[in-house]
Amino acid sequence: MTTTDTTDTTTGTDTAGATRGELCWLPLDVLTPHPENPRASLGDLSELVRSIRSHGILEPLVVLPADDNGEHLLVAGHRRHAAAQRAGTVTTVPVVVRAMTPVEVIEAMLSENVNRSDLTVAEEVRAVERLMSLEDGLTPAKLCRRIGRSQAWVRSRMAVTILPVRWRAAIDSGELSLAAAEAAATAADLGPDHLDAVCERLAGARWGDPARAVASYRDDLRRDTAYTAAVERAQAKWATVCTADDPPPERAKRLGELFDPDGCKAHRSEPCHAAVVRRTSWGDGFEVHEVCTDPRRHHRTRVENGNGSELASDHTRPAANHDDSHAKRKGRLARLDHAATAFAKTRGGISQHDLTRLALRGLISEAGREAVGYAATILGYDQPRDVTTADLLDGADTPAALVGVAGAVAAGLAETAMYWSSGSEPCRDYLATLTSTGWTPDDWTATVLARHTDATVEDAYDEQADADDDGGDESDEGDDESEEDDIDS
Amino acid sequence: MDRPTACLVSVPPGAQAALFHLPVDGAPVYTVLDRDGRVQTRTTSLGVAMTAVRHLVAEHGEAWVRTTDDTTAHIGPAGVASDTPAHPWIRTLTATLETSP
Repeated sequence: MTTTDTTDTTTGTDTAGATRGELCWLPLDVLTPHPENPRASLGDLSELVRSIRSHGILEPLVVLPADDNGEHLLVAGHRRHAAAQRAGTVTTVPVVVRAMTPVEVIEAMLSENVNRSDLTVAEEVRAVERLMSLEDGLTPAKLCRRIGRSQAWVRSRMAVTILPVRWRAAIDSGELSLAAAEAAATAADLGPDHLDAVCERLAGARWGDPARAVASYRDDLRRDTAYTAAVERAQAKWATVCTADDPPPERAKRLGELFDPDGCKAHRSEPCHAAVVRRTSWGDGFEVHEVCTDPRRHHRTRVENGNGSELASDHTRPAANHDDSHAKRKGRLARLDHAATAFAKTRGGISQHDLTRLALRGLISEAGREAVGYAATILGYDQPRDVTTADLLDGADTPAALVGVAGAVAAGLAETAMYWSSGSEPCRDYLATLTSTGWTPDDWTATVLARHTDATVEDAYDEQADADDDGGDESDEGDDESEEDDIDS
Repeated sequence: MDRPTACLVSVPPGAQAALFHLPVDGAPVYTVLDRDGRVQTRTTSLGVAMTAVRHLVAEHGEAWVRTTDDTTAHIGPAGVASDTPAHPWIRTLTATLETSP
């Protein structure tokens, strides 16, 4: 349809036809911009003015029916209306007069502008706010369907309404991106001051993920709060507290470097005791260390002269409790000495029965988890993988039972050895025992055994060859030299 | 006898006053209630909640916003009232409503 074709339209203010949404021509001076128009600025109209001067208005404007004063409020076509006024060559314009509810009017105005991406973010935000305030029960989900935008689009516009006016304006000026504003709005629960600070931080940061920046701000805040609480607790507990704001105490040393735990406790009553609370950028945001600000007070010579503390660091360390390596070694030597004497005795020494028990229990205890599992399988445990050496030894009270368990563990060890050294002595004993009781080796085992046998024969040849080589070293060296000479020549 | 107005005014219709406001983990969820105690909006965005509040205040004259830790604000033509006015999100709400057009 060509709207400039006047034969197809009615002229004058035919209100009856207009309310049916029909096309008509209206004088320019009866059209008034709608006060609820979301577009605050009409932008540069010069191109449009030139176009209207040349071709007139090609698309009809959409207006509401005339009010009591005979004026029609514009719904769509504010820019064309303004350009037509500025052109001065147009007196009547094509319009569609349509009766609409206030909500429909704003929806239409919003849809028209939003879908062309002509509105600024602040204008979109205002329009969404206005729409939401007009209709009862209009949720973001419903609104997005009506204006043809995604729910995320609507939610982001609604979310930034919590920002201070200054920062909402900053979105339009480009100082704050919409994504950053949306992320900043999630910090609304921190209070207006922090909300402002988050906006400030995001406006300054051109790069990076705004959501991560807000999360980082929250972490910093949490650590700051924790640090302040830690300082308060330390000040309530200790007479001297060095915080992050104080200069670091000179010559201070952590108590752990000077004293044992008892000494650290005793040091708390000393005048040189202090607590240092440091900020950290990780974890809880603080560290508390108890320190001695004058470690020389506890030096041995000062203690002996009566000028220092009784807590001399080298006097208070009880060797029996903490540094017991000497006592341990002494005890071990005593035990070994007695064992050597007992072994040497033919009578009154360690009995064969006790030696057997020690040997078998030692074998069982030292077996690896895999061998214990195999032994448990041999012994018929229901859940062999869960069995431990303690479980195996639990029921082995008699020598016969102990021998049975130890034999199963030895078989388990041999089974384990199959996979790394099929030719080991325990392994061959184990296989021989199985064979003697009527077992026929399976293919894999037979192959492994054959390979081992071949390898043993080859090894024997190699050893013989090595022995021969050792005997003729000199002649070999001479041969090598002669070969090199041949190559050079 | 003085009426405990500060405590009563921020309790939405049909809800009980909370004696303690225990901190909760995670982002707070804001519930907007109308004067009949009906939930209008439940959202993690205070901006979305405030949009609903503006509508309710324009339509019914008042609205309540309650968060996960049971802190509540009453919003009416006179502004924001709460028994925990120093709570950060309530201060944000107050500041935004005071400065926004």
